[in-house]
Amino acid sequence: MVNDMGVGFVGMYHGLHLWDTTKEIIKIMSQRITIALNGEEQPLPPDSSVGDLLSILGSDGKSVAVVVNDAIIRPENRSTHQLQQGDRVELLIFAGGG
Amino acid sequence: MNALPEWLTDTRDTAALAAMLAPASPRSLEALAAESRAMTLRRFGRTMTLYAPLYLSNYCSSGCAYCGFASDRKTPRHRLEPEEIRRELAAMRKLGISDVLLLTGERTAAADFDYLHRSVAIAAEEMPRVSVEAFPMSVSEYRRLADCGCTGITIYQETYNRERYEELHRWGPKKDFIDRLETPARALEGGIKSVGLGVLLGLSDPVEDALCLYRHLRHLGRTYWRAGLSLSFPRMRPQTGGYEPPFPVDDHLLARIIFAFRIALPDTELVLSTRESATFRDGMAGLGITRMSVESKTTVGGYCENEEGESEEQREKGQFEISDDRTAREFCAAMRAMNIDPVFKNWEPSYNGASATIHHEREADRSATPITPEAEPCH
Amino acid sequence: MDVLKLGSYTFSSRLILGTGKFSNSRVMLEAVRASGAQLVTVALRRFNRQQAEDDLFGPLSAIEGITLMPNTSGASTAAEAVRAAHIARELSGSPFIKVEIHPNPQHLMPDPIETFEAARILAKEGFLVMPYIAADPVLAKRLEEVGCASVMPLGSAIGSGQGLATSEMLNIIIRESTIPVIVDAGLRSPSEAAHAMEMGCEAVLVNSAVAAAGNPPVMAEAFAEAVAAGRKAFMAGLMEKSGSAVATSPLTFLGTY
Ligand code: SF4
Repeated sequence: MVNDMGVGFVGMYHGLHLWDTTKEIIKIMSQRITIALNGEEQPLPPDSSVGDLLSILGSDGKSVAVVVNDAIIRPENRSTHQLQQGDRVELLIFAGGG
Repeated sequence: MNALPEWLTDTRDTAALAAMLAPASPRSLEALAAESRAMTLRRFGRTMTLYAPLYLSNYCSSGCAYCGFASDRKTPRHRLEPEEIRRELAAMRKLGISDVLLLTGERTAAADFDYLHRSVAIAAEEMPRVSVEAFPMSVSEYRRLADCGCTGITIYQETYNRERYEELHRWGPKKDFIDRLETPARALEGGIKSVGLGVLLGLSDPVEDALCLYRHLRHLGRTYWRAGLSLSFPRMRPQTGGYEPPFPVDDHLLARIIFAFRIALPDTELVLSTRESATFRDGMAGLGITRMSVESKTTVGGYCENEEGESEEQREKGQFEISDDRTAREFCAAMRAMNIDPVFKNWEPSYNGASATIHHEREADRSATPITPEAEPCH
Repeated sequence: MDVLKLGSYTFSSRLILGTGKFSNSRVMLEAVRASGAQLVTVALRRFNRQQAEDDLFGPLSAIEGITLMPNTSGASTAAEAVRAAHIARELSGSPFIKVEIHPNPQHLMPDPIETFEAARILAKEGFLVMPYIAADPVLAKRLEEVGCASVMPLGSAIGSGQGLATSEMLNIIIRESTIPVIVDAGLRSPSEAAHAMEMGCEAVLVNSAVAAAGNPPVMAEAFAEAVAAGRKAFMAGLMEKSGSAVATSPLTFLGTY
């Protein structure tokens, strides 16, 4: 699983010819998917799970409710639930309210 | 023996009422009367709704010590047949009455549910408003009465003191204290729109009985919040059994009870029958009482004879002796003299029919957009 | 022991605290602790990477004895409120849901029809439904019938600080209700909270009055004390008011029997 985009690319392709590296990056970039996260576009590597998305956002997921296309994704299913191009993802937390 | 329900024994609700009824209450009868009158005027205006009872039958299977119809009394028994009912109702209509209370004794073969049901259906054709004071019924029987035009049920506990109750109700179905206690709830459950409760003052400690009566009414009001509720305060009257009430209630105490209930229950109909004297009834009109019976007969039928002027020595004894024997016309004149409008018709028959009870779920048509708790697994 | 019963839950505190409108979450948490509240309301918000400290779940859960009561604020229809309730339960693990549906964002008056519909659905699903409503005695009974755990009529408009402007209607609701009546919204001062409790409310919900006070934690404590005092007074039974009406004519028609 790709956990952190920037560091991952550099680490993975260290030592290859620059051109090859660039070609690889372009190839992977073109494979990226876009989801709607809380109403805004968010690019993601293909095959990302809900769990991956939370890590990318720096959340431990404990206090976040995840809703994908109107369906709640329970914590135990977040690592296996894969996100698809165009998915509508809502991440919700508890904030102050009366 | 089943335990008494909590709502009957919880005294917290009645603290204010108890304070007004206490013998040592700091509030004078005159002060209570003034407050009661102001509240009655605000909520009910200068009106008095009128009804009259029609005894359908004096057959009875119970042995209530205080009643002239108890099954050990020698009084002749009979029941009104459909044609007689129509004639009686027509005579009552001539007096102006359009609100009738139909009465029977406890369930007997001669006057059973089917007889009562038929009689209600006949009365509903003749009278805008029909209510019933008969025997305890099942929810489905009450439903059938409501469906054929009965809008009110009167059912008195007589006394809430269980020991006294067991002594006084010597035999018959009425002996079951708890069943009787639960009867008004069954009526409301069955779609009857209003119930009248009461205690027969004189049978037991009147203040204790009054407090229980209040708790019973409040319990019903909270549970069946659409229900119309009324209260009566009948005092023991002389009757054929010759029973002497062990807790006689004098005018002052009865007045105090009526004022205190009006103050505690500003919206509740308070009823006073012809058991009471013309003087007492006229005095109470405008001070707290909002509903009265007029020109009542407590014998089976009785209105036709009166109309035809045959009022010779009555063939039979009534359930009890009435005290205010004025005609409807005389009574109304007295009310008008006090600037109170006697209201004969306060009901429109098109409102008859069972009341709305708890709304039952209509599933498919009203549920919100479903949200699945879990997503389908991908791929 | 005199406790507040909601469904199968019991609470010794009868003050419910809202967590909105505080200057920051540190002050809010201090106020919650000072109030002794065991039920606190929270709202669902979209996660925002830049403002991670908005997240109250962790800090509130860390306070001992706290049960969260999420609200459905933001919902303007029954369907939206039902969705919000499902998400909130997922997050809070609590069956409590404050159904709050206000289609008009200015006055924030609750929509009785959508609220009834949402309450009906959620109560059937097993939620402990706490509907925020106008002080309407008939609506309160209808909500009781569909299985709500309480009704929460407003004392006056949200954030208005007008106190118990609806006391006439509240009295009827309290008198007729068989489920706890909780005054929600409109209170400004602890004395008003005490008054609500003396009238027979089972609890009060306060937010703005604490959040916008000069010193929120101290005000939270003051409300807690007022609520406890008002409850005690109610349980003790207030002295009868002396009849204000003056005796008029003597009751000459009364004989002695
Ligand atoms: S009070 Fe009713 S039940 Fe009792 S004896 Fe009289 S008619 Fe029968």
